[in-house]
Amino acid sequence: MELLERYLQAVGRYLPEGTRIDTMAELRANLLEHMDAREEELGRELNSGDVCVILKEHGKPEAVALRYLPQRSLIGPAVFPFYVFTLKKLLPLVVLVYAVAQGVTLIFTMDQGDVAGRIVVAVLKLVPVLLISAASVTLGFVLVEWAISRGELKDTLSQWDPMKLPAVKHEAAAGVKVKSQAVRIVELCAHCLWMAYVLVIPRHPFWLIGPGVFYLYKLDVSFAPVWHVFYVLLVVLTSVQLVMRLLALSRRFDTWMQPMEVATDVLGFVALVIVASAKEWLVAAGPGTDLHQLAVVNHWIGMALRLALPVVALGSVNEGWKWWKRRAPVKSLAF
Amino acid sequence: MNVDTNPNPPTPDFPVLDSLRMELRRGCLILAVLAQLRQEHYGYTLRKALADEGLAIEESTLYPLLRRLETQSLLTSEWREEDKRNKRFYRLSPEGQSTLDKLLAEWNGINDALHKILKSEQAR
Repeated sequence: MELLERYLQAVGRYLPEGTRIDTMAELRANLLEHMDAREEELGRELNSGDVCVILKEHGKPEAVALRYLPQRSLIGPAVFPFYVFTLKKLLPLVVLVYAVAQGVTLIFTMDQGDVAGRIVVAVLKLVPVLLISAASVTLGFVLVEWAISRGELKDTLSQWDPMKLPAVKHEAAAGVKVKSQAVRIVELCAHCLWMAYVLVIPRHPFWLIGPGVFYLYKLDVSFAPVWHVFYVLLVVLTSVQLVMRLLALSRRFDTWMQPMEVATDVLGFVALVIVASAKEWLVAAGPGTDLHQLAVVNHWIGMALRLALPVVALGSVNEGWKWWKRRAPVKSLAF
Repeated sequence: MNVDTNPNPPTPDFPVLDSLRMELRRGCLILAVLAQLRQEHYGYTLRKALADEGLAIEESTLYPLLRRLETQSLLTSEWREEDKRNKRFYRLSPEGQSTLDKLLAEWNGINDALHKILKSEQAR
């Protein structure tokens, strides 16, 4: 019977203190009954192997003990879907607020140097921010679950009015893919980074063409005035797009987005046409400039811009076509 | 609660079936235990009685279930000596009896509805 006592002791380790002795006594009585029945069945005294079989059938001590514990959950099955939904909605918003705050800080402290290092630090610091946000939401829902278990929030789920349901989204009903809020937030964050990059370039030309900037220094050249015009247009364009991305967070402006996309595409194309129509893009900066090499570089820049023009034009036409197709009544498309 | 009660062994290739079967048995098992405890039993004899009626149930599932039902005031229990051994005897409480009646009515309603559905399926 030593084996039985060892088994009961192992079970007892995991039982709540208040009921441990009682539960163990009951388990002992039931297992002894089981052993008596087996002895009767076999017609002999049980050996340790037989006891082993009975105990093994009964279950691993930890598992047996856990079944005696009250069934509890921090967040129960009724509340869990709302918890996941809230996390899915909130975490992208946290990323957005964090990205905007860090982006603004970066822009206003640009002169403190080591921009790349500060961006890496900001990205790494996002992890604890997300963890703390998720933990706060979890704690909130644990409290909700606790309140429900005490009967204080019981009727909340039945208090709703069908008349207050949002109107059907026609785009979704027609099978048109509608961007999720998370995608919109990611787009806004990406655009903020892009805008920060555009604003950084005049002070840090290295960020524009990387190590190629040293080649330009060696050539002793500088950017032609056409780039100043292009840069102003680029800043206007990115600012307009920033407003669009912000408006896109509210689905009320969905119908405005497509024409706005087309308009910004056209503005981008115009900026490119202005740059491409220039005769030179780099100019001699001093008497030591190798004019032959400068001519070669200008030739290839011109070639690249002329190749880019039809690609950008096609992109704009494509956006315009998609917008027109969506606006056109179905009948007019049925040939 | 683990309700591996049974005549039908688990089918590792069909985890969905196993999980659905377990869900189906869970409620039935409580009903069976309450019904069986209209007569007094201690854990081991209750398990045996259920098994004799065709509802085998693991000890490690049944004994904690008895505790839980007692905590919910559906059962009462007392320690008593029988055959020179102290045993804990369980019996349906008055509250358990009224709960059992309601659950049985529910069970019969579900059973009748299911029979009707299956009959109409066969008639097609």
